[in-house]
Amino acid sequence: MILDLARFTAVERPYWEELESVLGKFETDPGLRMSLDQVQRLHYLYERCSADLARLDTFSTEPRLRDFLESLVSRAYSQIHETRARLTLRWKALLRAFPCAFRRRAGAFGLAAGITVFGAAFGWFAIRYDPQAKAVLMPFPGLMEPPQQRVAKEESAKIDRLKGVKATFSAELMTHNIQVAVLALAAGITWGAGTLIVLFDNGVILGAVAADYLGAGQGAFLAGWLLPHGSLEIPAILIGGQAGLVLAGALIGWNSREPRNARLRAVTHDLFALIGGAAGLLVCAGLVESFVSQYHQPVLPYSLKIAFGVCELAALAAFLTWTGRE
Amino acid sequence: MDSSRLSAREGILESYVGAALQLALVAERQGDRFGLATFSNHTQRFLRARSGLGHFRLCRETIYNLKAERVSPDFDEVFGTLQLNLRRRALLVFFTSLDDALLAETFARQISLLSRRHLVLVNVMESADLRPLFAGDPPDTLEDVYGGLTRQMLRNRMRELQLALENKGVKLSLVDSARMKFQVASQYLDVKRRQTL
Repeated sequence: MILDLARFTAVERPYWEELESVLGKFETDPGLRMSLDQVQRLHYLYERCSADLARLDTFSTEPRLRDFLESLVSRAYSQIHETRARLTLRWKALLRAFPCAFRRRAGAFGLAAGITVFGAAFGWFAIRYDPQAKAVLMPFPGLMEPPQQRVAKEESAKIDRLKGVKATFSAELMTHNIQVAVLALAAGITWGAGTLIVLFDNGVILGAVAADYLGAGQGAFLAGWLLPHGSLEIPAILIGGQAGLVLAGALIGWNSREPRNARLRAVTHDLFALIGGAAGLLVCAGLVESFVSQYHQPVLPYSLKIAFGVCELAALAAFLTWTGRE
Repeated sequence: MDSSRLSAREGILESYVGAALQLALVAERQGDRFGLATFSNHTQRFLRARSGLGHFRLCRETIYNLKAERVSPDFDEVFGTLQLNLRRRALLVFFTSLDDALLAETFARQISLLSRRHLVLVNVMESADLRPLFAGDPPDTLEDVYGGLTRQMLRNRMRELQLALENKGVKLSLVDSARMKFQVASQYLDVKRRQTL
């Protein structure tokens, strides 16, 4: 039977226009909330227009009208069958993701820690056998002077050299340290070679500083200076390195038959969780370094600073070990 | 029997074929005359009512050759054909799908043409989309609750259609595929018992 197109259009057009106006409202205001009646009406209009389109397909070959209805029905379909989940921050899941990813990739963390310890040992022996190597191994002006001289200067300081610039200083520390962590992760793209170099280099500096200060008998100063922020900063850099090694592992794909893109997809969540967690730790470390680590005896006793650092380390270890464990 | 796009879903047409043949067999055993009309966007076959096993075989051959088509049913056309060909009051048993809002509206509007002269029974398959909210296992997730509410609303709409058709003297039944043959035969025997024809 041939459809009376003029009559069909005259009867159905008000419904099409109504649907078009509802969709227009949605498209100008995506957060629009509808009442139940309005939702039911939208569904009815969608069903009706879909049926009209089916009828046109059945009876008619009017291309422009069919194009119009197809567009209308597809717009309504995408509004009704919206598949994007509403963006909600699930703090609990977010908080758990980091330690869970850390534990899942504990092997990579062990390797990162091993490389850093190896680098530290290298730095230690290099300074012990050739103290002149200090300028090469510790290229920071603050570390160039002899440890005893620095400790004496810090302990006798009458003015707060960071007064008024603590926020700026902590922001600089956060930015720099996060850059190092991200570099350790990104360097994983070089099949892990870059990550190993970053970790080894950090280890060398750490070992050299430790050898310099411990050799000068300034162990208490060193612990009081490094532990408050180092108990967060060093694990965070190691976690950055852990992420880089995970990335390298996915690229290399030992004993895996999956294609590379599938392997990379499989580690993406863990990489985000690890680097996000490391960045969070480095923000805390930056604040502690600026507001606590730079103040020494007699302003802050070393025993208090060391105890603070040990507590931080224990809390971090407990968080990474127990949070999110089933 | 409707062989248009909605009847092509989930083996609905196969269930309708089985139920229609069962109904024809029962009518034949009762010594009544029975016929068949199949339609989609036009009336495909119309077999005038007769009795006997030979006519049953003809109906069976016709119905077995039926194929579902991806077109909308044209109720206006099929009602016109039936009105034109059926001069005497008859029992008309429809097997169709009315879960589409526009088709349901069209059917309800145009059935008056037939229901004034004939006794009309309509059978619609009760799909999973029409399951009541509190039937089956309790919902596990919020999505399940929304799904259940949607199904209940579709069921309510079908109930409204049922009432609208009832006001026109048409009985709409939701039949499930497992018991369809039995339900349709019961409808027929009930009509005979109550002599409503």
